[in-house]
Amino acid sequence: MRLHLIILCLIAAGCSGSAGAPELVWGRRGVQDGDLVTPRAIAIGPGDRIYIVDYTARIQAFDRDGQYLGVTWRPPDWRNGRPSGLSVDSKGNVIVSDSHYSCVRVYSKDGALLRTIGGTFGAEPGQLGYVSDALCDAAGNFYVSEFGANHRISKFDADAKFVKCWGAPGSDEGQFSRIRAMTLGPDGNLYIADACNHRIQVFTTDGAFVRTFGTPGSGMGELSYPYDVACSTGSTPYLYVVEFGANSRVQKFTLDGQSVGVWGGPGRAPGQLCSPWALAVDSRGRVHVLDTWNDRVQRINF
Amino acid sequence: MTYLLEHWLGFACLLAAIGLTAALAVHRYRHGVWAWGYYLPAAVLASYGIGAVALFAPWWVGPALALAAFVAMVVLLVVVILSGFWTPLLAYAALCLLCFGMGEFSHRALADALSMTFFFLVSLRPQEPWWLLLLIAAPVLVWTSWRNLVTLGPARRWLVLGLRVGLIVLLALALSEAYARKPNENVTVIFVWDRSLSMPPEFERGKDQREARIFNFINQSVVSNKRRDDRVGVIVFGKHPRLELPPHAVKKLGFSKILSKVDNSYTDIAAALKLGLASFPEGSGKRIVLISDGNENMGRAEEQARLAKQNGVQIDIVPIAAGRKHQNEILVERIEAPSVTQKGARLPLRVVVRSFHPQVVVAELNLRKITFDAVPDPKGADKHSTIVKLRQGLQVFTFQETGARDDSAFAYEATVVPLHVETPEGVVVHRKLPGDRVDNNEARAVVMSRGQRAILLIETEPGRHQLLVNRLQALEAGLKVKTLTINRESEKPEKGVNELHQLTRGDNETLATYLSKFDAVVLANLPADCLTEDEQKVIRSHVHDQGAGLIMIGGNQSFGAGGWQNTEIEKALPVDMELKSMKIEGKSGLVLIMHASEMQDGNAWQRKIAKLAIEKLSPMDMMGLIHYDHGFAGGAPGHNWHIAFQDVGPNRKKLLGLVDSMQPGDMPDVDPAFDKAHKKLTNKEYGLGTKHIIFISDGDHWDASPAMMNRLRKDKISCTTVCITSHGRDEVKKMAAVAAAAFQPGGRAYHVTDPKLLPAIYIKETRLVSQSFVHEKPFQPHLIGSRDGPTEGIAGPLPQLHGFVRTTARDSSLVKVQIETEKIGQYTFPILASWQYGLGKSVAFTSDARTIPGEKFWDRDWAGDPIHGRFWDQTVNWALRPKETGEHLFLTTEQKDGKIRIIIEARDSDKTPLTDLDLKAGITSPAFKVKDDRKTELKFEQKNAGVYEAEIPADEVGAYFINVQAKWTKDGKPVTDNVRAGVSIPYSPEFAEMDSNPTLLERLRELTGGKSYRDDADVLEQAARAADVFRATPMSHASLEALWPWLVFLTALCLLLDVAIRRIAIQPEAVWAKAVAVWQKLRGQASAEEKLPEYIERLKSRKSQVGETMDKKKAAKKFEAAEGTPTLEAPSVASSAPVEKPKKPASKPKPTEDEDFATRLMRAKKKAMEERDKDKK
Repeated sequence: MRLHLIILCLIAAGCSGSAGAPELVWGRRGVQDGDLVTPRAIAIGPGDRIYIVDYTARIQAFDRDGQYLGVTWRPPDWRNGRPSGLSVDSKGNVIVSDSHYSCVRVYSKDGALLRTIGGTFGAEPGQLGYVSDALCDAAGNFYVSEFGANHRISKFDADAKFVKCWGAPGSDEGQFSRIRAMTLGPDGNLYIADACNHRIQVFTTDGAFVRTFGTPGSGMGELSYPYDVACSTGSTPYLYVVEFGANSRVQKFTLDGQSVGVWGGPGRAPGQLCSPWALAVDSRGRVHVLDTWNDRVQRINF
Repeated sequence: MTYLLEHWLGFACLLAAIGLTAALAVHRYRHGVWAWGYYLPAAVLASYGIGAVALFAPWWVGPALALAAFVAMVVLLVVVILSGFWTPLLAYAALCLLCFGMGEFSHRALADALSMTFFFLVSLRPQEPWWLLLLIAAPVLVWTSWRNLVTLGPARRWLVLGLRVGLIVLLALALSEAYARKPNENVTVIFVWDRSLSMPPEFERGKDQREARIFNFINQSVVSNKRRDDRVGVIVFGKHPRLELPPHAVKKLGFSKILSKVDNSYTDIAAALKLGLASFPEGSGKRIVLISDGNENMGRAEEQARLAKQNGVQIDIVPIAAGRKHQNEILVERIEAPSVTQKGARLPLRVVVRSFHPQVVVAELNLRKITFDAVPDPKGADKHSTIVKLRQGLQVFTFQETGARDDSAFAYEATVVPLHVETPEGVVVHRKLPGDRVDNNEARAVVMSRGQRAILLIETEPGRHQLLVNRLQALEAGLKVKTLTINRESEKPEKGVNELHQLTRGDNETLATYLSKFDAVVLANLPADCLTEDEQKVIRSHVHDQGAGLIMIGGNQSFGAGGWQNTEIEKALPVDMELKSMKIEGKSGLVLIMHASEMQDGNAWQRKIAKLAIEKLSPMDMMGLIHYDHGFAGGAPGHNWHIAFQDVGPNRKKLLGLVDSMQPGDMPDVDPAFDKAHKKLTNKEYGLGTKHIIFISDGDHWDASPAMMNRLRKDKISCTTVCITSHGRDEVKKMAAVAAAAFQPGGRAYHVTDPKLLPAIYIKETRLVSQSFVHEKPFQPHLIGSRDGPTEGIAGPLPQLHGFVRTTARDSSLVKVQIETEKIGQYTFPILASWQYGLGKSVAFTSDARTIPGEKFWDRDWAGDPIHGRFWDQTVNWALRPKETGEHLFLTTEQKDGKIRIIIEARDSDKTPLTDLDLKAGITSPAFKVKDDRKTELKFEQKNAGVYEAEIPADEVGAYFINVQAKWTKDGKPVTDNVRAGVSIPYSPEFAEMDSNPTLLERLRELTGGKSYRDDADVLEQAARAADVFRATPMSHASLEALWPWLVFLTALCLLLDVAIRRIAIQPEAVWAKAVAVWQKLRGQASAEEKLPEYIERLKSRKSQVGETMDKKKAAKKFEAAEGTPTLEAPSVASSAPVEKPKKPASKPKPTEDEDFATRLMRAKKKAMEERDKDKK
């Protein structure tokens, strides 16, 4: 009897629905292939092939609907810490920020290690500290963000030669406090998630400061620990920001920093997020949010 | 017979056909027509039956015939549609052929389905059978419904009645919680794997091939098994069994590492089998696969095997190293030495060595004396080394030792090292002794010394209690006072002073041996973190079981201020550290900031240390805990107070409970946490004196802003950082910088890689924070209670004391508080308390004894008073262990079968046996567990005049210290004596096993009817690939399946159908008529519409007849007695309700062709009523 009542209640609850319901929720906590353990970074490659790195240091490939594609690999060593940044270059190679090993590793889509950039710990130009994110532009230049020992962005050319770096600890324009992630906008600028300053900073690829937006808070246009940024393409591109802190939500901005809307909030139900770390936008403009402490991914049309 | 059973359905159909034929004949005889309602079913059943019992048909005949018949029927149908031509004979023949064919190939499946249904119904087991009484309602319901449902017509009425009966039956079964027994072919296999030391490894290429083989056997068996619902589990065992993998249905196991911690010093197969039997899920076949060498040295496996047999559990065995003969083995069986000696006495020692080798093993026999002398014997007499020739069997080597140079206890250690093997003629066969296990090549014996009485005083600063030491030695001529210093105040413990550790090297057995010569231990202003938990256990057992004294002297680092709350030592003291006074004095505030820990079991360790911090704070102190909360509990994520900043006092238990739900997350930054801590610690309402933050983090990858550090420094908030398993590089430096440079001088930085060090750090840190235990003002102590023991003969008033540590006397009738403070606030506090603890005595003096010439402390007034010497002399004397005379009691021990037999021979001075002894024994076991429970007291039995015996289990490897106290009366006066001995179990009995014991395993297998798999790579591989361990078990199993959800569902369905049938008027007769009409139309015969009125009329006429008959009956019943009642026309429908006078219709409706049967019937009914009304008028 009780079971039936519970089922009825669940059905009733399920039927109630909400406007913020995600299009798809997938992921299961576990260490088997296809499972996730506090996933921390996500990237989407050609054909909407999704790569996710989790707390077990596994990088796994999925299709856009969350079906495991049978590809899993790990960096050479992860005892000191796990990678915390992922991106995909124009050739479909996966760029892994091996955060605790001060380097960036480039893998083929099937997990074969192609090259390693950096690896020397330090604060000198060309050396790296805690690597939080890395990406590659169409010309093959690499941009590597760090926090911890250094709060800066370093630029390397296609041959991994150091070109320049910019940034310093602090809260003024051009200074950073925990760069958690970055993305290249369709306008050719770098959008930086300056997490502990609760803002987004925009730079040209040569390091010239363009603008900043976001202040601490929970209102529209306000941010709480922005942890990842991603841009959509199309005629009117948007910037999506995932907030790790008390807001635990995704906020949609125009490229000039106008907040268009928010989705999510703290919680465990579908449509709610628990300390989300990352997000990515697929070829159809759908946002895949890494709901880290719920060990899952939520896909939204936002 | 078998054929009959296999084809029972066919025969049943034939029998039914014969019955129907008989009925057809009877019908023909009575009515003169062949009724198709009989001969058609008879033909169908007969065809099906013949098909089912057909003897010669190959498998394909049935399907082929059925298919042909089906095609023929389709053709006939097409012909009818196209031409209207129809041949019933041909159709019947096709139908019979179809049934024949179907009977041939489908009867087995149908018979199985019917059997299963039957057995399913028979297997129903109601759990609450009283609910079945509801079935009584079924006939009542039929009775009442029968009359009310007459309007539905016969077919619908029967349907509704059937549904209602079904509803009642289903509901009754659901309420009675009926379960069905479901046959279960699945098997659960539990691998029970012996991990004891006697299991021989098979090292090859640096890997244990035997272990790898077994892992492969288990994994491969699981992968090869095709039944996906079979379950597999793994139990590993040694002394105790551990459930490594609970039984679970898996496709593959990937079992490559054993995670359970197994005590491998013993083998208890029985306990492992018992756990295996208890771990099986219900309702599946059960099998244990025992992988062992069969060398059990605890429990009785055969008893469990019998139980297994009773429960239908088979035991398969994999005998490990069966037939092994371990000849290359020599071992030291024991050292025989007197357990107690006196200073200077010579000791006869016998070292018993056994060799299993058939030839002569030449070995070096080393005998070493382990003493605690600071300077080794200059003559080298502490070591002997002899070359011995060992022949197969036992050999004894005798030594005459010089014995004790002082009153110290000591131990002898004998080691035998094989050099080479030679023939009896002296020809060397080979060097060394390959395969010899070094673990059993040594043995130890503990010898205790009787002599001058001694106490051990441990302090943190050399000479700090020198005045006390001098006076004790001066007043008590026979007392020796040994002082040791332990000081861990340094930030790096390895740089501190620890004289106790230098002597014992952290070995508990060595510490117990060392302590055995001391009759009391004094902890003088010593904080808890100076002794490890193990060292505290040894001291506690030394008091409780060995009868020694324990004296804790106060000071600013003692009792609660020394962090002794909830420690092993506190349990031995007559006071505890819980404070009853809530009056605030020197209130402190502590905030714990917890960052996520990537250390293994990091969260568990963080919880543990948070609890320790809460336990160590005094009730007056305030504390809170901040962590990064991911919002699991529903709140907003962020740097939140997991434990709100509050007084510890009344909330301690609640706070400890809150700690369990703590799940610290990764902080993006730390400033918000420090900011929250700062606001609370600087809140003036709290009036906090000491303000401290303990921050635990892996340093990943926050940055504390300089502005925040300045704020903390400005408000005198100290911070200790604990950097745990950092990601390396600069995190450690960063944490250190935060603590040492940015904050107050009180802050410290620790870098911890071993989580076991964390509690000590937290105890120390918390102890430094909490100052509210200490009262540092002059006060007047008062003598209370009886003047005996420490206060015997001391008269008041006592001199003033200038400080003490707050404690609370333990709530026990054994505790005596003999000196207490004057009233401080509303309360008095104990200064001197004592009690008997086990066989020993324990004293707490909560003021200090630190005053020495030139330095004044809390006892400054006592130190200058004659009372000082007398008080301490009496206190120490009272606490000392009773003197061991060696004249009355003689203790011998025997070891056998994991037990130690203690034999006491008691003689009076005149050699007469003492037969009325009150004996109490204390045993310090290698685990140093103190059993406070009276039920565990050892009971001696007098076996002979003055000879007492008792037995203790000895299943741990190491030294057992036995202390026996005897009390008796002589000439009316009580006499006390005690005797001690040390017994050593040098190595696990696993190392005494030379061969495997496959016989035992074979016996277990035979008892339960299992299989044996040889420990061979090929055999195991083959068995695994065949998944042989998952074969079907001989006993069938069934699982109980709850049916109530289905029953409730079917009940609801019945209810729905009942309503539907009553509300939706589909008349079977009309449907039939329609079908007939359609068929005739197909055949081109007279149209249905033309014939229908005739049929309807006949039907209406019949219905009217029935209604008339029923109404007549009713009328006869109701109005029979009344005279002159007019005879009524029978209404078309019977009704028990009074008939109302119907209103005359405004106009008579004209019947149309479209009107259905029901409408016309209603109209006929109305007409009949009108006619009846006319008659009435």
